[in-house]
Amino acid sequence: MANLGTATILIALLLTAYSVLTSFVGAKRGDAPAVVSAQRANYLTTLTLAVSMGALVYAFLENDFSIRYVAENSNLAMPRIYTWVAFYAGNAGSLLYVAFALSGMAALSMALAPQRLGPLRPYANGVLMLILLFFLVVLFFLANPFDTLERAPADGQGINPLLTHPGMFAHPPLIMTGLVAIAVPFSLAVGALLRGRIDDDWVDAGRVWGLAAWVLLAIGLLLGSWWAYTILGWGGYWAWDPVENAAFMPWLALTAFIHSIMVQKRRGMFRMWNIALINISFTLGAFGIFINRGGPVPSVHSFGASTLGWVFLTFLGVVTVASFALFFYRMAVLRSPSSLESALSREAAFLVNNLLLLGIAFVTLWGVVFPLISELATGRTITVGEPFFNSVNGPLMLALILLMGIGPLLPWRTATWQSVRRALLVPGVITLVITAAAALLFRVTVPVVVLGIAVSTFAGISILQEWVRGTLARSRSTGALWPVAFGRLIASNRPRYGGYVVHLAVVMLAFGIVGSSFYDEERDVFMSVGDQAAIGEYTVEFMDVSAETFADRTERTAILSVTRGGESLGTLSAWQGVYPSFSMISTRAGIRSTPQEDLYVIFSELQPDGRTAAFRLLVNPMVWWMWLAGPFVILGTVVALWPARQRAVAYAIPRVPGTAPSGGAP
Amino acid sequence: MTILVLTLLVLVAIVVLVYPFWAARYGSVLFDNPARDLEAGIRRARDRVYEEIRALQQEYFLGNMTEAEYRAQLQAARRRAAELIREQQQVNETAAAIEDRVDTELRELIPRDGEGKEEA
Repeated sequence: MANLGTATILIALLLTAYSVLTSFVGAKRGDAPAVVSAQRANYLTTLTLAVSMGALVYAFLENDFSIRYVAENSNLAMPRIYTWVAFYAGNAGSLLYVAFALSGMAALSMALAPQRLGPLRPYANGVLMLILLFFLVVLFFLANPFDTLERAPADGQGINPLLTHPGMFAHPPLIMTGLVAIAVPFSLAVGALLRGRIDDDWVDAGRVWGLAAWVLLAIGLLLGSWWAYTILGWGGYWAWDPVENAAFMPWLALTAFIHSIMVQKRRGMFRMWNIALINISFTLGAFGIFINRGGPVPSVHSFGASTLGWVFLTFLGVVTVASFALFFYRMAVLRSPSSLESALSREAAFLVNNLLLLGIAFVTLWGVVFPLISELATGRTITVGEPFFNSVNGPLMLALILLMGIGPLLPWRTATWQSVRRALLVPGVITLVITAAAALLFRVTVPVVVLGIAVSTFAGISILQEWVRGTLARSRSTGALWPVAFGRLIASNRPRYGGYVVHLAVVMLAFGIVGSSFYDEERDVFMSVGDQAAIGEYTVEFMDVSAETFADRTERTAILSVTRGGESLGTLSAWQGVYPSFSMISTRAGIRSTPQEDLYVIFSELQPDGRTAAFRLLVNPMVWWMWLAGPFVILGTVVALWPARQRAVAYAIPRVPGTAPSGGAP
Repeated sequence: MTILVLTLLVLVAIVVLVYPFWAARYGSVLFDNPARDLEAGIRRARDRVYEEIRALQQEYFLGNMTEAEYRAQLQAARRRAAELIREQQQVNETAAAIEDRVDTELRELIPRDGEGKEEA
């Protein structure tokens, strides 16, 4: 298997190099056979890397410890189900996965590329293959997962216990795929720059692939938060850890891009801005890979540490310099045919939204690179903590959510204050009522929380107002039942209404974050079997503890019964695993989750008597809404991406009310 | 097994990559065609105006704009659509005129079959 794996990586590398060469030469000379051949080399690379992936999976399943990577990331005791997780538990396997994911995206994007991309396609293919070439060179020469040991050990070292969690089946691959998927819209933009003709040809495909990368990162980030919440044992879900931030920053830039590209699609504006945005997104993605796979800063994701930092830093430097040099070189032809007509328009709202998103991304970037800068400047590593991120990014995020409520109510091109006032009146009044009621009912006194509730409610009500008004109007004009009218409303403009579904998910996230950040309760207790402890309105009784020993770990499960106001709410199981070979205790929290709040119990420590244990009890309000947001993000993106039926719009153009039938065109 | 898989992979790769050159039946679709691009650009701009009108209708329908705003923007959009149709007609007429001129010049430059044979 080692020989097959190494040989297929080499073949993939040669195919990719061939594809780069023939793409650019073919594009320059207009040589169609060369371009077709280059594209086929792209498809073959995916096939070859699939064989390579299969070889590594097979080596894991066969416990082939003669392969160093298999010996370092699995052992005989590892349940078979975690083979897939072990595959990317280390750097070399992750890089093979990244290369395969990038190759698959490249093949898919070129196979599905619309015909009108025409001469742009070989340039885009060349750029994609050039990026892939980098990963394959690193894989073959510096981090080959098929390197062998002189003597195969009888057993491997095993998988990192923190990775043995259901979230790990999807979180790392989604993040890695999301990061490399940005390469597709980036290659289209850079391809257009290389070609020297920057029109709107790439916009549709760029939007689709930008959205695909965005949703992969979004779901990856949410799953990562869920993983952290359930396994890291501190009761939180986001710690502004450098590796979390590494995926969060390109996601923010992509969020700006998928909004801004709509303006180019609709109005032919922001051409220069969109190219700059996708360059920034890809650069931040490359930075993410540097942080993720290069391991330059301390992180809870220390299992990803490596010595390849300089390689990814070089890649990041080359990508940044080359993409922006090309951007400035072509600046003269990047001017948009139209410009902003009014500050009170949807385009202007999109622009402010972009600036806020980039603001958050760059504040986060500053927090991530600060330890590196401080080390270079003073020789001491000074890390930036949560308070910095929360205090700077918090207000920016609130402004962003407020804009999320206002933006959709503004028409394109221009609006008047009168119409804006009218559009904002209903959501504004309902927001005031709900916020006041919430503040009184739940005794909310912290000003920032009141503001957070108000802003999130306003955004939610704006969306609902759009849906309700549209549905009622459709129902009135067609006589359709409300559900049918609602379905037709969504189908009438999928990008818009799909976007609203995602906005609703953001509102849920905002409520979850505000609730859990300011009103959580926490208590550390020691309990013997039969003891009780109270937190919030709950009483928790330690019922029993059981232990089971496996080859690589001892699992202990504490059973706790929960009551509230004398009413039994059932039992909770809090779990911990002791892994002697890793000198690690891994925990799995017992969680009782409701829309109102989570009761969260961590089994921290078992005393030598085997009957007394340390627990951390928490009540985290509204966290449930954060996890509900995930399906809504997926649903909204699917709706937004769903291809629209071709309409004969020319027949539907209305005349200006009150003008003669021949009116309209002067 | 390894040798077999690798040999198969290399053979398939060679055939798949070389075939386009051997067949050489792909047209020169890759060359930039300024007239076609210009025409396509205008068509896209027109589609965009139509899409804008549709969005305008929707905003009006949803009550996000007053009738006066709607009328003004609709009038402006229709004017832009008309302008684009006029531009497209000009491009098509110019392209047709160029084609005619190319035909005329070729007729003058290339001898007819009969004349060519006589000279040979």
